[in-house]
Amino acid sequence: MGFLHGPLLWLGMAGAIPVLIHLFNRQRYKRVRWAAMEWLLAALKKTRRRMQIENLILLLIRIAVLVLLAMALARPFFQSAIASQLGESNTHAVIVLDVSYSMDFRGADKGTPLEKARQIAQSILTDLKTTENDRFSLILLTDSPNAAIGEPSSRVDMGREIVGGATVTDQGTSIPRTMELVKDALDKSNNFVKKVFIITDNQRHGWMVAEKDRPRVAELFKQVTDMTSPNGGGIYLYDVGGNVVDNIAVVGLEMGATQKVVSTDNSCEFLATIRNYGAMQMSDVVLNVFVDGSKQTSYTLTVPAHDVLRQVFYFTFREPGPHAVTVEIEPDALSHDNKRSLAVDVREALKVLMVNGEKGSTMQTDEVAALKMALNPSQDSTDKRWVFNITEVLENGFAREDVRKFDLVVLANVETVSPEEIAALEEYVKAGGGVLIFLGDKVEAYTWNQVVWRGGDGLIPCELDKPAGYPKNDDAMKFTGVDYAHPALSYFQTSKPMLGRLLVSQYFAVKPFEARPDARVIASLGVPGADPAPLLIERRMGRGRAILCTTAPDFEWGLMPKVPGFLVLFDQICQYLASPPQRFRNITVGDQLEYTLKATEFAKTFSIVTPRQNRSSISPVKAGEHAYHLMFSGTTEAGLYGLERDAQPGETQATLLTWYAVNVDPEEGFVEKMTPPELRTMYPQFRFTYVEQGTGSQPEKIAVKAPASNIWKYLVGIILGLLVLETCLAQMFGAKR
Amino acid sequence: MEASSLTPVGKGKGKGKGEENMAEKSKYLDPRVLNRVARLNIRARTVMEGFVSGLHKSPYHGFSVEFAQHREYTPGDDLRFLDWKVYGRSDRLYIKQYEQETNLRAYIILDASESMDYASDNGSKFDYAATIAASLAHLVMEQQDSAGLVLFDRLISKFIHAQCSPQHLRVMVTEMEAQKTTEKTDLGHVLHDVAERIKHKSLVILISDLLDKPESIISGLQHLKHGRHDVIVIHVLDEYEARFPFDRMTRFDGLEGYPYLVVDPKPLREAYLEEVRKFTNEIRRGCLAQRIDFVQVTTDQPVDVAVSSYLARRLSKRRAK
Repeated sequence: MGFLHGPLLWLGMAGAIPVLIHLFNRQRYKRVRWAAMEWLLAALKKTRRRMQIENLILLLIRIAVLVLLAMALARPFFQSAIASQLGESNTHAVIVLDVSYSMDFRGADKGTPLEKARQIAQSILTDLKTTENDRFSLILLTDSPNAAIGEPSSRVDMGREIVGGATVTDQGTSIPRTMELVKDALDKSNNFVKKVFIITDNQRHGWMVAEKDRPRVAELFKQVTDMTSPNGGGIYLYDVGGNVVDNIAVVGLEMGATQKVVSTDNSCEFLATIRNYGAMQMSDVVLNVFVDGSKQTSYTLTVPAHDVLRQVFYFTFREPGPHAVTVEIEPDALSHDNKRSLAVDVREALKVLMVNGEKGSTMQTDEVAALKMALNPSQDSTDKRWVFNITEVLENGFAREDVRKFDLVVLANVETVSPEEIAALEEYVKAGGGVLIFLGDKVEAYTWNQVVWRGGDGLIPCELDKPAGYPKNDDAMKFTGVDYAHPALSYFQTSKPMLGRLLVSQYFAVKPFEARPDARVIASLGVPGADPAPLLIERRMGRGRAILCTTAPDFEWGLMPKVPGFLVLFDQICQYLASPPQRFRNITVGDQLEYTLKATEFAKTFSIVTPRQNRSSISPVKAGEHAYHLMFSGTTEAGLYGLERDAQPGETQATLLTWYAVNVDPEEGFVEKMTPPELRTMYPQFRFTYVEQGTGSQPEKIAVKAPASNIWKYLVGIILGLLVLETCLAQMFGAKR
Repeated sequence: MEASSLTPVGKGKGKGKGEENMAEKSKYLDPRVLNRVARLNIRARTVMEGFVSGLHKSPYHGFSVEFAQHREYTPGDDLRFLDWKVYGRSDRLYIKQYEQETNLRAYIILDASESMDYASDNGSKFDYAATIAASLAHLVMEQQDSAGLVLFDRLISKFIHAQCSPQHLRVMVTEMEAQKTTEKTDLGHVLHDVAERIKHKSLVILISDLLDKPESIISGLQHLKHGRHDVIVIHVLDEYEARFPFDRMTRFDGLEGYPYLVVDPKPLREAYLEEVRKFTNEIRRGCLAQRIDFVQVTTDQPVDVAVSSYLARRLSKRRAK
């Protein structure tokens, strides 16, 4: 038995009222002296038992009336089959159907998990009595879950149609995200019994969240549990997954660790990662490599059990522009994770604008001479061996340059910058550009702090203090606290001595600042007798990034240009800053595609071509004063999406602006299950009924029919009957008296 | 009332001034009651005949003998009673018949226990009973008979021998007024005690609420009857005791040592009245078996009505015999 409005049961305390009245009346008596006590006592002795019984009967009836009234208000229901026949069904069933790609796993069982899941969902829909008060919602479970029927509905036919037509997507699983939709659906429900049916392969990955998100998700699960627990509701976890996890997947495709920019006619390194989730070693796994749709090569691999294999391959692009690299293995139990693509923007050169704050006649005195030499030793912009095409301007010429024409802007020992220049520079960074800032003896700290730092909102994340260090290079300081995991410094992971030979004698001290998600120190200087001084500080802004180097790239503040490490360090940093962030071109199914337009292109029309060659027009969206974005959210399937500018007058065909490689979440291919005990340990307040369906047996039926909910009507009838009975008995007992 | 304030009552049949004064001043000699009883007194002889005749013969022969009727002489009749005057006129022998006027000793045994102190809307039972007692004593003395008074509770607290004088009535009334009603009853024991104390055949009038064990009361009455006394039992009940009209939760504070009882009286009423009936019937049967008059009066009845109606009843019973 349960109650829809359980708290109203407290009104049942009113059942004490007759007792209190009785006790109260016993205290409110008339007092008389009495002589004939003998007769009174004899009468009392004779009638006491009858009186007690009569009083007890009346008292019980009165208490029962009040208690039953409270129960009626609390809307009771009975779970038993017999009792349930008395009431109308009043259940809201939230059906969560997992359509992530792991549901397409073809293991030893007959049929895929999705086919079993559809069968169960249809069975639940069949059980619904929508002619009474049953309602349902239908949520398609992926890592971008979709409420196919979010509002409580009685349209079973529509639900059956959606379930029948449900196919696996290329998306992963996120049960926490899905539970948000479940909670929304339950919030909209007026039914007094709420049941949630999660039909999934119960894949471990689907339940996992970042540690920091665990409390929030636990709270969400608790809320859903609390919403469904009353009145005989609950959460039912149908496990339709199999017990076999043998699956091999391409889980990664990326450029080599040091390969940040792909340029024409230079061999480019790629790294494909293949993972064997199964317990058996997989031999003769054929890995095919495609570039722009053309097969280039293939490899036959042996992937150990429960292990990964990394296959390196190289390719030299001859044409600049957008290209796509794809690797694919032969089909297995789960085909969705057998292919992976990488969108590559091949450049002829990276255009660099260097603002020289201290022009000198020799390499020793010039602020950027050593840097220019490091980035392009041949000093020839047509030499394709070097990707950097450098344009040098003096400080006073900076304002005339349009920074948007460059891939990287370097400010070297610039005394001051105007607010306008900084505004343009920040806009440029937000749109994806890179900025490298060197400090030096010319830098006027006050102006920089006012214009560039701006209390932490500006392009540099820390307040400049004053130059520090040693006047003589003999007392140089070395790098320390290097973040080798950072893409700009990862090259030195295996060449730490090279970095160790870089010596700095002077630097610009900065005031201490708190690391934050968009600003952090990635390398410091070891200052004798003091805390390390920040040397390289990265600031992310929008889609671009800036790195502040607190020393100068010349011979006055150190001896860095003297050693080969200087060339490698700033080549890596500049490639890192100048390369368009790959993460915006290579995304996961369900993510949004974004593209920043040049200001002159906002009036043109654009289209997205999906992997199935469907074409969708997209319109620019204003994202800033001079910035326009193109955005596309329909990345529901894995593959290559082409962003094209529609053919302009005089053009015969559309122009491909870039490729987007939309890949599946590789973790979804690992179909190992989360066991109920593990789940209960992870989320102790998440209460559910586990129903295992993976054995291929017929789905276990869980009654959707609600327990009898209109018991209150019968209770009201009983109450009226009791009132009549009480009146009659009181009359009868009174008449006797 | 102070005894000294009482004025002696004259011996005549009419009421004297002093008697009126006493009646005015004594709460137990209610003028209204006395008036009613006085009217009753018009028929006093008749009534008293009904009331006391046959109890005993006067020990003083020839005293207070009055002519009643003639009857023809029959051989063997006492020639002293021949009416020679009639014989002279009519030459017939007639015997004069005389009625013997009694010389009555009446003892009024008045219950003065705490239970008699109970009073509902009217006066207390004791007041009511004392009024009856005073009225009857007055009536008895009006007829030149003697009356005594026994006040009792647990024991006999006052025993006043029967005498016939206005002063004696005043003494009795004074004693009744001075009596405190604070003790428990032991009626059976008291009746035995009274039976031992009254040596001469007397009219014994017990006025009490009889709140004691019926068998004990009947035993005491038997003892009285055994002493050849004529016994009348006047059972005084308060109207509330007789009808039990309570209808809401009531705390009954028991008198004579009974504890208090908080109870809803409505459901008890029937059983209570049954108990009263049962008790009354038991006493009534006991009295009947002993040829004792049993009269039940309630305090809501006017005393004169209660007394006169009883006397009338008794008279009619006597005549019927």
